[in-house]
Amino acid sequence: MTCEHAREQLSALLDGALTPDDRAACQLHLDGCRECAREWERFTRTVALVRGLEPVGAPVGFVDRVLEAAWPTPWYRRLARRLFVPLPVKLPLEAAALLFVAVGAVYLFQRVPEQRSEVRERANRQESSQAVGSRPREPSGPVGSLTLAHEAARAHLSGGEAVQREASRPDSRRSTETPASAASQQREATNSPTAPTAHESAAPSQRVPAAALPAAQTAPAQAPPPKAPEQSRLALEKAPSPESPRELPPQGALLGRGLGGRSSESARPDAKQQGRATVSKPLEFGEFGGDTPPAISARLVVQNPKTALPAVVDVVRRLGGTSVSQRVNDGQAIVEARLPGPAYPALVRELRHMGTWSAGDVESSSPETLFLSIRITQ
Amino acid sequence: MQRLRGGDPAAFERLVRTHQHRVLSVAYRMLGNVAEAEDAAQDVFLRVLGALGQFRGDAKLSTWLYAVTSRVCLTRLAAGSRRLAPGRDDEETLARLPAPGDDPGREAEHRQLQAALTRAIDELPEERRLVVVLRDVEGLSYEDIAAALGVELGTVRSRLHRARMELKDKLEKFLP
Repeated sequence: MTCEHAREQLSALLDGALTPDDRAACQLHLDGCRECAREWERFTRTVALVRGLEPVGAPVGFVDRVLEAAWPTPWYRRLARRLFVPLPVKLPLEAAALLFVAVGAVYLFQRVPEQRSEVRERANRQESSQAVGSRPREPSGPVGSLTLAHEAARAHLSGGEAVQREASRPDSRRSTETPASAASQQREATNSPTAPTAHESAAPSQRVPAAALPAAQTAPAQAPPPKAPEQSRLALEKAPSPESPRELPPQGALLGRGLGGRSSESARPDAKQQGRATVSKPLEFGEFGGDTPPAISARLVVQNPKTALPAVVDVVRRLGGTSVSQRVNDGQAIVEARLPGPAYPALVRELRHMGTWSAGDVESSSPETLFLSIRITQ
Repeated sequence: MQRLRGGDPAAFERLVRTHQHRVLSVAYRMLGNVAEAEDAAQDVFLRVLGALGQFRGDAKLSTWLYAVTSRVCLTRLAAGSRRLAPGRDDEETLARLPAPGDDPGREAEHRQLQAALTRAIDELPEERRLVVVLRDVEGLSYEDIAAALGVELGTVRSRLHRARMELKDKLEKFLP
């Protein structure tokens, strides 16, 4: 047997696949040939190494994956398995997550209305501060006339008696006047934060209708002020429509000498004399002479706006100011007042003792007089 | 067997559990990548499940499984499945079945030898690789290999001898 033939038989010899005769011949050759014997030794060692390879096994979960591929689980069962298996771990986690989401939703739900109302109030404050000292606006509608008539009616009341009555009245709707500031009150009433409403919706008869003056004048002095608006309203109903303008006595005649019986008395004869009224533009500070006082729109947050309103008015008066108008609606009270400029810091200090004060900056430095619009809220 | 042919899930599960390591071992040695091997092994069992009705039973079930595995692996290799060198991750992913006589002191040398062996087998031509895996790794007889691959007995001997001789040359430094 040649070496080549013997080496061709090595694999079969190793595996016992040779016939007995072939095996004997091959073995004989290997015993006599050193090279072939060495080759046989290396060959057997190689096969032993291959047979000694580390066996490998299937990874964990292989059977499950095969079964899943063979019989796919319905989607709802897979979903339930993902959500709840293992139960002791996933159930508490999911319950905690649901609770967290619920608490967050409730918190947001409560928070959003508060933020909305805050934004609304801020917008109103800006509007009111813009309204004060703004340019004249076109009057429209009878509502403005109502407001002006209301203010004029109150202005007609004698200052001292009106102030004392108002001070003693527990009602929230009252106005405080002094004879000295009656004229300016008329002007302030025109340009108050409520004035935009008056200005925007007022009829061309922004001037006090002549018919309203007698009605206000005839309102008994003892009559409570809330009725004055009603009377003014009644007077307004009789007042001419915008289509029939009437001429009114000069406004200076009404206000320059202060509102009171005199001005109305003088107005009436003038109105009678003239026999007609003319529509005039809205009243403004500047029209009646004097400087336009800087306007401040402020907010005072208290526990009870209704009970705080008289206290605020009292503070204003003690500091030398005058309350032009007061009203209460929707849980908030609004005070419009004039205040000597130097008294403003003292006012702020006192009102801060009552609640949370927030206000815009004073428009000019060291103003002589300030016009305040204080919104008292909860 | 009857339950298997009837599509009994429990019987099929038992089949998979019994033969999963063999099928995956051949697939891994042929394809050289754990992910591909697992995918191929899953494919093998799904084909078996689908073809159980056609299995006549004249051959051993294991031989039939090897045949299906061989065909699946050769098809994937022919389709251009990239044969990646098995990395350390692959070795850790595959379950290492305990070998008798583990000696911690020779662990590094042993791992080096294993890596060289795997690389040498990986470099064999596909047909020779398959034969040496079936014979020397899985322990099939020449007849079973011939039946599984559908070739003559002489072809099996020839391919096997050539594969072993090549491996001998590649593993020169590990041989005396």
